[in-house]
Amino acid sequence: MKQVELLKKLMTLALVEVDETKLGGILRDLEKIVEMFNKILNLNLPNDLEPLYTTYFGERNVREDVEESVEESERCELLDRELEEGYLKAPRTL
Amino acid sequence: MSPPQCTDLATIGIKSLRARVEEDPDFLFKYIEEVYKIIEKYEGVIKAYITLRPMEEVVREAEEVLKRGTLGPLGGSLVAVKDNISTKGIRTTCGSKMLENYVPPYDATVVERIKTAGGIIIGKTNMDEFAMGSTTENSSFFPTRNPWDLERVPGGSSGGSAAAVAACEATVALGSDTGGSIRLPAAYTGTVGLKPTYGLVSRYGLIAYASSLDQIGPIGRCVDDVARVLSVIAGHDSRDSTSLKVEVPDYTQFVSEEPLRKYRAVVIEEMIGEGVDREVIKVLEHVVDKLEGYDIEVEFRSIPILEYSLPAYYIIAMAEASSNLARYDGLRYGIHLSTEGLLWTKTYAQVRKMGFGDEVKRRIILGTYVLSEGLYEGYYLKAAKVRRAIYDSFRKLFSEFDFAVSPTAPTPPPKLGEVVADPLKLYSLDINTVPVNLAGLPAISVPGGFVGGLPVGIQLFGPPLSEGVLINVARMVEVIVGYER
Amino acid sequence: MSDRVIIGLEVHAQITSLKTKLFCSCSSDYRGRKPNTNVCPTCLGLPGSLPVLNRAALEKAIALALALNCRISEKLIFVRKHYFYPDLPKNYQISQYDRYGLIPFAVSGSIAIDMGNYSKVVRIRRINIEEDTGRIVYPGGSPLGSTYSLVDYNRAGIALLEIVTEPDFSNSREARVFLEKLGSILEHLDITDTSLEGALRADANISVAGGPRVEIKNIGSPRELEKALNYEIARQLNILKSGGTLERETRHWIKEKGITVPSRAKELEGDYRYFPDPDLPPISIPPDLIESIKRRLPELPDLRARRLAEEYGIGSYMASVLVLNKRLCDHFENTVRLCGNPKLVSSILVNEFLRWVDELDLDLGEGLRRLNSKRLCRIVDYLEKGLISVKLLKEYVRRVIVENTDPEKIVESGMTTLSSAEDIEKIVEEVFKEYPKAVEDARRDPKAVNFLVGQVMKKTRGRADPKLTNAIILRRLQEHESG
Ligand SMILES: [Zn+2]
Repeated sequence: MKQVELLKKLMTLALVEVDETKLGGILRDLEKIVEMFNKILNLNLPNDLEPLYTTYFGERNVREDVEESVEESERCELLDRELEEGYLKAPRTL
Repeated sequence: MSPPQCTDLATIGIKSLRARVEEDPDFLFKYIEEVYKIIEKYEGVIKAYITLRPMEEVVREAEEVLKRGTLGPLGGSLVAVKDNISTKGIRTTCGSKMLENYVPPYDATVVERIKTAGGIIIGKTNMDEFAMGSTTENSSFFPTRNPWDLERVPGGSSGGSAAAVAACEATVALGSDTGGSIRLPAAYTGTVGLKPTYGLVSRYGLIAYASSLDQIGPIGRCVDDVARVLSVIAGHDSRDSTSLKVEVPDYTQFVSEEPLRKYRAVVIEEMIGEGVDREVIKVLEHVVDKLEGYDIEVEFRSIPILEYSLPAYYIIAMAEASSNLARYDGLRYGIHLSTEGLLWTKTYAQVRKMGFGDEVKRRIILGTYVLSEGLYEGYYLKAAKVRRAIYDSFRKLFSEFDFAVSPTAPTPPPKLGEVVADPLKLYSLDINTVPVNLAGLPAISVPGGFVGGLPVGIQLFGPPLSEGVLINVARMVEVIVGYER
Repeated sequence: MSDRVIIGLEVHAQITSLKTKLFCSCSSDYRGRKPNTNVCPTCLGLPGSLPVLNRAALEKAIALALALNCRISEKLIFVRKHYFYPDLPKNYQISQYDRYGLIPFAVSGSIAIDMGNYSKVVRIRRINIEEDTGRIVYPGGSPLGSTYSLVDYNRAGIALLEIVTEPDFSNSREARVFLEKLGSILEHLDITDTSLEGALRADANISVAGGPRVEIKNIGSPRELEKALNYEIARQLNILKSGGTLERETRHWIKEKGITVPSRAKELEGDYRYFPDPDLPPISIPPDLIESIKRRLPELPDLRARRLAEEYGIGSYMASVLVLNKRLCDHFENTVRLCGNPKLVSSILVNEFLRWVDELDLDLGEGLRRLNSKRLCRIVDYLEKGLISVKLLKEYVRRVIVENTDPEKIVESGMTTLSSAEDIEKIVEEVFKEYPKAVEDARRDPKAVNFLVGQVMKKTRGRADPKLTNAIILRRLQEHESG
């Protein structure tokens, strides 16, 4: 089934998995929601209408290039993990 | 008009609490004890908190607040904080297994400000996982119950915060609102909830669901409390690029039983249309009638584009969510799996399978879908254009009117299990709240009355930075429906 | 089918002159620190953290865009590029994009390169501002055969400029010269200290004989770029010759082994799901900011090369090679200020110095420290005084670079030209006695003279002035004849 292929592709892309047994149920829910999304597909909008990504209307917020002093000990505690000589252990990459 | 858990002492608001403590510092301890008594008695059923701080710890902090010399605007109030707002040293789960044991190493800006103002964090409240839901049933841990009717949901996603405030298990609470997550639970629990203008309150430390829609806001038992908390948490924060550089007034000056100036109000026809309960509309009509008695003109307008706000909202929210939740891979924080031998993609997939619940997975998958090659233009980009159209319509509307009034939710609170199984039913609870987030507007939900013994909320919303007006009108509604505090 | 090679580059230059990272106030000086200590909630991607743009990064990017004659966008629109990888804390990178109405930071620029016998204008497709990733190391030293990896996020969030070219290179040498030139421009603008490990990196897209595009990642310097491309061209031609087919893929350059290997799981490639970053509202780039940066632009390599050629009378190709490296160029000017002789100094630097640095795989800065201006001037002085010949000069330069020694020491060891005619006369006499047959030959055949000169050189270990030696031998041969 084509939809199942698509769902699996999306799950690979997003690295989100569900049990095989739940696949059918999830697919039914997703199809219903996509149908709701599809309502906007045929909506005619003015061609020159700019998309709106943020409603923030303030001036630009940038920071100056100044270092903030933070205790090194405090920085070390940011990673709540067992470290190997300071390095974070991660999975294989090849 | 409080649910049965509350006592007179525990129902007290910030203003009175502060005054009493000024007079007699020991009153603060009496108050804390009373709140913990209620918690001991009812929290086992209501389950508003994911993490509750032990009373001794809270008492110790109260002592410190009293030692400071000045009581601060929050004067020892017990503030319940939604569990998606980072609290240094206090576990912050975001309602998810993924972050079950995550303890943030820093405070969100709003938490810093609450503490500086003399507020005491009493605990972290239950919520739908990653704020994705409208009933708090999507919490990875347990559902929260509505203090007015334990068979019913408190709304979501800030259901724990609203329930804690309604049941007097806290003085006030912080929630977050992406598509109604403060206002809906406020409406369902008979509390007041305010979603500020986008950018008025810093998002630094708020665990993101949909960054362009999220705002932190207060939930209280009365408008005055909400105004006080907003005065504390609003204002520019250099750590948030979407934070507005605006002067923040003392919002209590707007807590007036009389209109502070002549207002023109509007009812949007699409917000009282099909799907909105007749009884709920009657509550609205009653409030609108009374407002007209204050010499407020109320007119009706239609904004047809709002028909598309639900799909536009969910497309945008899910797209942003799929991106915001990519970071949860178990490597740096959250669920941890032994990684040796496995490829990173396999490890990540396993962590995310275990850590995320079904609704979160649904939204990540759909968010990935609408952003993917070939579909972006039809869905995400189109939704952003619908958003612009809605934004423009409201702009035009509010050049004519000072505020709009609508039911917050289309129905009184549903029963547990009634809507959660059907995503579309669940999403439709947000029909009146999401347009406000899409346009970045401020909105408040205030109790408007009861239907069958269940609270019904009235939503007031206006142009950007009209919080003062909304607080003023909300206070008038409070008087209309008989809240006297 | 021809063996035509088409190469395009994607260069990542760290803005090393900044004090802090691109979106947080952690130090930009991450090198040599204990792993995972130069981090904060933002660059670790902790839940709830937010980015705020470093204003100076934008200004540096504008300077580069102006230097490369790019068109700068009116707005800086940050987007998120999604892929999962352990060195990427948020599993998306903040960058820019060029579709769906989203725009790169700057587009349509160019850099001219001088290849000696021809020159070329390389088109710049775009410049983006983006964040660097963390660093992965492997317990076994290499990803092959390691059962896990180790991550250091100290580098995560460092400001990068991404410079993408059109596929305008037709060989590895052009690509190398381009990268050197770009590095030099970045040095002149005080954006990147290219001598720092990993500060200037390149990914190359290469297509051989009309085949599919292969991307090579992880190339750390111009020299490595040339090597990696040569390897990859040979690898692909080999496959084609043996009847194989090439596939579109991404490969990793492994410097230590001098090979490329396939990388990154394929299924994760291709769909990066770009969309505007809602945490970073678009930032307008006001024209007056661009103007003021334009007014303050320093002298850049092309102008500098022109000035060097005019001011010092050196050839334009010589000048173009010098300006490929700012420090080399500065070294040239400093040395000439000290002891004149621009033609000789430039020739030593371009023809001798660069050759040895390359051959020894020496860091250029270290090479310059060894052949510092003082030492270089001393050598020039020796030549002028006749203490050494041009041939010996080359030997001096080599030894100073290889042994990191003072020229004085070499003089003390006796390696100087025998310039007195008397000394050479004696040696020539010896040689004439030892090789009477050769002397006879030389009388009949002028070409055989070289053998005698060679023997003199051999006896003097090359110290005899060759011109003088030649003259003496010819005179003696004539004397013999007439005598
Ligand atoms: Zn940082």
